[in-house]
Amino acid sequence: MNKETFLKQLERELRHIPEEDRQDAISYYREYFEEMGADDTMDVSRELGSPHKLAQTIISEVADKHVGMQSSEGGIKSGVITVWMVVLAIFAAPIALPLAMVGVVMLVVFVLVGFIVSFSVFIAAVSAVLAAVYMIPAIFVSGGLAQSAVCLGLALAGAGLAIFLFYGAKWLYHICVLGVTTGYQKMFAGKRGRLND
Amino acid sequence: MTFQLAAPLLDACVLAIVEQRDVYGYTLTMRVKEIVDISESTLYPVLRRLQKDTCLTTYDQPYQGRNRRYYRITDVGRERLLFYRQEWEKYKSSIDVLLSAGEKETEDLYE
Repeated sequence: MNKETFLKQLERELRHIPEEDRQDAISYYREYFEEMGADDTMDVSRELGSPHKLAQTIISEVADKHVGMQSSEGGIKSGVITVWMVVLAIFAAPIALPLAMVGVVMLVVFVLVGFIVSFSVFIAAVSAVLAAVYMIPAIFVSGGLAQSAVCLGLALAGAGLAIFLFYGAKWLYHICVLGVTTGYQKMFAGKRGRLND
Repeated sequence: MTFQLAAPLLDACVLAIVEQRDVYGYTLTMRVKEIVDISESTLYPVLRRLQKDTCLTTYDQPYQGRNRRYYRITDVGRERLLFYRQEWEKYKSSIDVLLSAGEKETEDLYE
């Protein structure tokens, strides 16, 4: 690539570091190209490598400098900048793949937990039904109308709770398990579709 | 290049070059490349680091309508260079002792 393309890409790769550091780097290399006598046709990346690699070195150098500053000057703003540059450096480095794998594992755990929780709610629903059913004979045992009414009320409440919990379990299952797995399938179906173009 | 140039040694070379006279980026890179085969992109981070450590300062000088940024060594830089020179002497002697000792034993074997 020629010098203008190189400098533009470098500036883009450095967009998250402070303005001062970015301009310093760009002017250093612009000056270097001028001293080299590089015209617009010369392939500068043959000598300098890729803008991306160069940016990585510069970013970690700049992050180092700001960490040093922070420990002596303190301040929240430089801390935030430092955090961002460390995050940048991490994502630029080739460990983005293991991090993505961690994300996948977390998703699987989420699905499993959703499954377990919705199953537990289902069990609770079943218990409520059983409790309601157990109440029904008690309605007909003589002990006064009031007592029968209370038993009937409890049975109905149990039934109502059971219905609520059944729908709750179904809803949880839909969100946690089905939602994630179909979303996942759609992602990969989409990718496969694009590959076949 | 058989033996890689570690970071402190590269710092020392840069400081030694700047100590002789103030230089700008391009000349400095060319001078270092005479001694050791480095990539152009190696030197900028080194210069940044030395500036951060106050071993170097910079000043600009216009030249033929463009700007040249010169690097100059500071007192801190001179002290650092002195330290590197001492360390290098120690390092050089111990490696020499090791490498030539083996050589001598090999000679004795064939006598």
